[in-house]
Amino acid sequence: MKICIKLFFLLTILSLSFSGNLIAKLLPNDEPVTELKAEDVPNDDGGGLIISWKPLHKDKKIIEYRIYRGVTPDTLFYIGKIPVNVKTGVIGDTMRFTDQSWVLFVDATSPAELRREKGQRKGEIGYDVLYRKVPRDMKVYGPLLKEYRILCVIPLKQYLYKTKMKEFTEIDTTKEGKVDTTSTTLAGLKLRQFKYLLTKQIIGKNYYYAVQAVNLNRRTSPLSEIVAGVTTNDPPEKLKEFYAVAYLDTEEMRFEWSLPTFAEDQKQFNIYLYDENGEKHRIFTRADAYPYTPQTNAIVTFDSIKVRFPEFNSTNMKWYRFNIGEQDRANQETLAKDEPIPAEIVENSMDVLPPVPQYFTVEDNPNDKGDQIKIFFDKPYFGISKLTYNNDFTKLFVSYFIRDNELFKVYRITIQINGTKQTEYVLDDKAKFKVDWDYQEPMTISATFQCRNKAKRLYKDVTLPEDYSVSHTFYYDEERSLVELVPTESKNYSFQIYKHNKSSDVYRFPKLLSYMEREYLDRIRYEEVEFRGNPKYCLDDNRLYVSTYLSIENWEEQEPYYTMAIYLEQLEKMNKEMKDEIDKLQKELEETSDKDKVDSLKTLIKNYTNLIEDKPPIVELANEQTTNRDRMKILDKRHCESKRTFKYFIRKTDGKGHFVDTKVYTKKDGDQYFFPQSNWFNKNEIITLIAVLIFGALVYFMIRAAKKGKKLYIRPIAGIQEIDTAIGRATEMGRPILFVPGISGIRDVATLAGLAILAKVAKKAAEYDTKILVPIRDYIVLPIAQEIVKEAHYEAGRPDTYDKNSVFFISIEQFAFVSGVNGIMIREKTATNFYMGMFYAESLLLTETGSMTGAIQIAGTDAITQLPFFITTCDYTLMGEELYAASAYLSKQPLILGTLKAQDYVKLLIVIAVVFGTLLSTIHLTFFMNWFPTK
Amino acid sequence: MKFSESIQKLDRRYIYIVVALAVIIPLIFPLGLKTYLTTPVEDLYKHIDEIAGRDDMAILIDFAQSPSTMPELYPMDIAILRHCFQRRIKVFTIAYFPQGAAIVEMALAEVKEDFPEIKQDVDYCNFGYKSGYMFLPIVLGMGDDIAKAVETNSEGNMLENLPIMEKIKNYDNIQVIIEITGSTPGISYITYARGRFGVDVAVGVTAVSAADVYPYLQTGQLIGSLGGLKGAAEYEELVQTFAMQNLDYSKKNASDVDWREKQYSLSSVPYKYKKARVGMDTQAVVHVLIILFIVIGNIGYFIEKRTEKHKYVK
Amino acid sequence: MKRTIPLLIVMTLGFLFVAHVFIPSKISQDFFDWFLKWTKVIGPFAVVLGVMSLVMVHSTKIRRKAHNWGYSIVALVALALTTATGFIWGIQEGTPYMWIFRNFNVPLGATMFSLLAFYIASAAYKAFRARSVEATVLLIAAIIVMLGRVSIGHAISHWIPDITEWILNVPNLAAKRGITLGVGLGMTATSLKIILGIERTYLGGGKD
Repeated sequence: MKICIKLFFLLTILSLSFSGNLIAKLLPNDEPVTELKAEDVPNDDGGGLIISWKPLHKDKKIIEYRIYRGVTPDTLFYIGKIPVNVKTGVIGDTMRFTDQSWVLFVDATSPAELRREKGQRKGEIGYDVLYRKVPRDMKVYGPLLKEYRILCVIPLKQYLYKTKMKEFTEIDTTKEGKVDTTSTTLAGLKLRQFKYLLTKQIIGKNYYYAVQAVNLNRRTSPLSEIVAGVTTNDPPEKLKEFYAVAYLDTEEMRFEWSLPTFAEDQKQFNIYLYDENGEKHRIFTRADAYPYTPQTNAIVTFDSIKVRFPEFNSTNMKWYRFNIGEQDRANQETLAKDEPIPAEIVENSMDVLPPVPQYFTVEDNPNDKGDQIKIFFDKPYFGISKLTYNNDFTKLFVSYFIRDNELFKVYRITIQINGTKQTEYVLDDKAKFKVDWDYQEPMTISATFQCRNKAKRLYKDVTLPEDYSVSHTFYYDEERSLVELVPTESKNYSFQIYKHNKSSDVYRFPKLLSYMEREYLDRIRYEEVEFRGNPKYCLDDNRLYVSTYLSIENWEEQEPYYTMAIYLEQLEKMNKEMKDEIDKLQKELEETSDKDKVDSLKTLIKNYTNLIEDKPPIVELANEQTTNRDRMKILDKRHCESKRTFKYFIRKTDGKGHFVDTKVYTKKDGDQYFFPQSNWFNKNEIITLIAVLIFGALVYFMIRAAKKGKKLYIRPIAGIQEIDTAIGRATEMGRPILFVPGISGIRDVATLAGLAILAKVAKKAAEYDTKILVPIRDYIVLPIAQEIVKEAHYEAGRPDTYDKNSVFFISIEQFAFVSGVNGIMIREKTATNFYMGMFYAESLLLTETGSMTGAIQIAGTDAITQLPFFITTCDYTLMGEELYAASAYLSKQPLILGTLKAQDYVKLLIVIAVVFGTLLSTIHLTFFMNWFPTK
Repeated sequence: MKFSESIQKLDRRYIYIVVALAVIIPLIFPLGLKTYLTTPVEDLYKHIDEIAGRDDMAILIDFAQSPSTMPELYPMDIAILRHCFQRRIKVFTIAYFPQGAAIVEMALAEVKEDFPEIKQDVDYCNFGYKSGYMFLPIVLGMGDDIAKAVETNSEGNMLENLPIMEKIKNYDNIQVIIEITGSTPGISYITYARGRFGVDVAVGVTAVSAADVYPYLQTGQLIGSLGGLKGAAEYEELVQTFAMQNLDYSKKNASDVDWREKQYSLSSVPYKYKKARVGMDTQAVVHVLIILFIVIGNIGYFIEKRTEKHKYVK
Repeated sequence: MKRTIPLLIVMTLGFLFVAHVFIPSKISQDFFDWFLKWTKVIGPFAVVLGVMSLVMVHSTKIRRKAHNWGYSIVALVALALTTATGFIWGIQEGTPYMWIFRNFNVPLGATMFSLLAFYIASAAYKAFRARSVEATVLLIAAIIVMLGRVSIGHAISHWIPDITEWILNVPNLAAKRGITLGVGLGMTATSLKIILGIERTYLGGGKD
């Protein structure tokens, strides 16, 4: 009866709260979004529209705005949403959604067929118009392909090995009625073979947009007005910075500019010279490196200016003016400066240019997956990260940092402050000084370095000059009571790393390093995808078709790089066609006598022959293969290699036209290119390997000794010895035992250790015929624990007493699990509680409840933060490794005892290493410490 | 004898009631205990305050928080935002967790109520939620160009079109990055933003993680830190005594508790701006209470032990 | 056979993953990533087991009209209701599922968590006794740390916060590291025992 009342009470609360939810559901959402606009994104390539609208009032409890797009106003597809915080609403007056750059077109989350958007009622405007994402049905998305610019991202392996060749023939009828057929061979892929299909708007085309708001109860508002937007290809934006410097002694000009924000549409940068009469001459062009970052500076020699502007005379430099224009693919150009700027004239370049970074080196990074190239340069740097001092400026605490590289690995520095010298061993990056600083005077802190050459293989006899030092000057700002650093010039310079691969013709700019950096790991990703534009579709075989040409490598004969068809069949057909063409031309040549025609025919024949015969050697080798798969393997390899092989140089610049370059790094054999090598052994882990081997060997010997009957002593652990007593107590009292094997998953070793103990406890409990309850939080642990308890009952010879429901799942939710377990403790009045495994914040909640019910509690965990809670509230606690040792203690098997003993010996070794290392580093011998990898 | 036994066997429920009262009473009637300042908090305050009124410098706050850590971290958010709005310091906010993004908006809305003249995208800019996968590209990208790395603010506007970005380009214009977090504090920012670009980093962390921060503070890799509710309380105090009086920070005044007390009266401060200090009152009372419990428990224990001893003597 | 095959799988994969630590090559990394993807598949299958167990335990209780069987009804109704709402309306913001999560799960969890403050107080009262010299040292350290974390500590003496820092950074950290070392070794040993097939309780029942 009592239960029924409780139940009634609970259910009433539940139903009441739900009705509350239902009432809230009636919260109307009857106001459409207003002031919807679709405007062009300024300065872009014409691929972007900004959709803006006025957000609905906070009281409407809107949780998201959904945006729909279509090429006609009667079919709009969902393209995205903007979530809104219900509590705060939207702070601003307008909301914007930028439909720009490449967005997903059709993907795995798209519906399989055309689906109307939910929430629309018949008769509303939205009902016939709104659809969910563009579906995966080719009948729908196929015709849409031509309405957008499409970019296909295809996994490389799919593209090279899993496509279907097909020929498309297009018939054009020209004005004169002549029928022209062009046939193209394309590679076909199923939709699922693509990684992504991305879209962008076509310039000058109308797109339609609508927005709908969704409120807290997921009710949709009436559809907004449907608006049209047209993208225009804007002229490029103005570059923010541009500098021109003329170096008279080296007879060259150096230009530097900032990068534009929109890079996709760039074609080139043009530098102009305006002569005395204000006439404009283009003196330099830098091609863009899209999709990579292009160079932001250029060296233009006077000679090369003379080629384009023959009247150029460097003595007139002060009359000349300069400007830079950014030009896009539609050949629109924007100049950076409204008024051209004069050049800074430098008589002697040595006066303004920084020294060239020395010892610039490129190397394959060892011990990696094969995706990194190591770059290092210059001498070490010493920086100060923090300076603290006492009130009378007699004590100074300097926190410093070192930036070094393999060539000059700093192991000791000497810091000098106002005549006080101190040697530092670069262990903790801190130094304490007793100085006498008259705080009205500036103070200089300088450091000299002692280094080890770890790059002897490259620089045999290079050592750091003894007088090389880095210094910083500080002054005390009395007014603000702050110590300030006097800025130095070196701070203005940064390092630009430039690289160039074997399948493009421009340098790209992967990284800007600050003035203090001395090394850099350049990450070179594995080639995994290919990009192809504008696919054709074929409804018969449900495939999308893309171009079949694959870039192979840089090759002088065919600028900028050599491409190859991926089908041998296609290649043979093309060759045959060309041969036929040559034969035809030959015939024509024999018949004609007109000299001009002979010449043009001869060139044509030569061109065709070249096309057939001239190939990079690797392509020739590939074409000799009998199967297309073998052929593709060779081309695939070379394609990836040439894209991932780089040469490097460094430019040190202040961003204002004062820069110097290192030479492109060249290996001893003259080769400049680097290809990252995949390594088979990580030498940094050698100490770990040794430790593992020692441990393994010790385990082996100890087990052997134990098997032979040698008595192995192991320290008694109170908690483990008491397990039997605790089980006995439960038996005496006739109450159940509770065993919690942690709240972590099976991947946690602590859980495994807990389960091993469970096996022993369950067996004992079965022998005494005491009920054991095992609540579980992780469902993967559940079947394992069930098996273990079942097995324990079988082993104890009491299979009849095993109740499957004694090992049960409660909840994956941390605190729900705790309240479940606590409820069991209180209701079942468990006599003994075991907590073995991984625990988090819930530990005290469990054990304190246990101690309230008066149970004997034994805990074991390796969670250090929870140990204090267990120790204070449990009768016995297994700390850390004791948890792992427990099953060995309980089983007393020689195998398990052996590992335990081995563990003790390894621990001894570690303690010896720690003591030894501490002693050595105290007397500043750090070699031992440095053997160990730090992770 | 009876007394000691009753101490030893005291029903837990009495303890619970006392603790409940100790939590609730100071929340309702703040005690106004003095706030003592610590260097990491002062350092951070000073560092932020240095760019007061400048339009070419800003601070960036990463809200790596979830509702579960709000009691400790939210007062920090409020205090720092209030400092910035009052002293005209430009603020950027970003979140790499969806929950963090919600907290940013809440905090901004709450503080903005008192500063009607502060304009979105002019005085502050919320970058909004960015996917966790974008963390590294954004942190590294900001070294070159913030507008390009972050792309849009929380409402989808392109950053480079916003007035706030006019004089702010990259990390050179960022005075400090503050990560307010419930988990590993600041390591990624130290490694990538500070390591590569030398930008200053500070953190706001829960009290549990406060100890993890010390090694970084010692080396100067972190220029300051707010640890738990206490850190938040200290920051609130600094904002109250300096920023709200439109005073520059001064070490001398900061260390003078009496001077600070004269600057304002706690009762006139809106609750949202003294949350941490009030919370600290509670914390102090509960700590003292627990110490008292321990002491009383031990007295009982000793009395009992003594009487047991006497038994044997007899 | 029933045990040999699983043991062989464990051994082979165990050694492969140990080798993975030392082999940085692309093949090894790709294998590792590929394998991790597969392990994710196991989870969803195990959910079924968990839910089944929950239903079985509680339905048995209801059938037998065991003590407090009413709670079992609540548990089962809650399970069915939450699952149903999730399946019918989805789990996004604004759905009944989210509403249940917000209004039941979160506050209930928070309530359980905040009980911690009370339990700490009572545990401190009941358990902290100066029984021995070590216990006394622990007690004094605890009091200093507690004082050092609030303003009262500073008010008593500025040394208290300093000592607090020292206690946390030196003795506390030393002990923590000691335990961590032991834990690391214990974990390695347990893993080794599993890989070598010495420890096989996790395999559960069935003879060779």
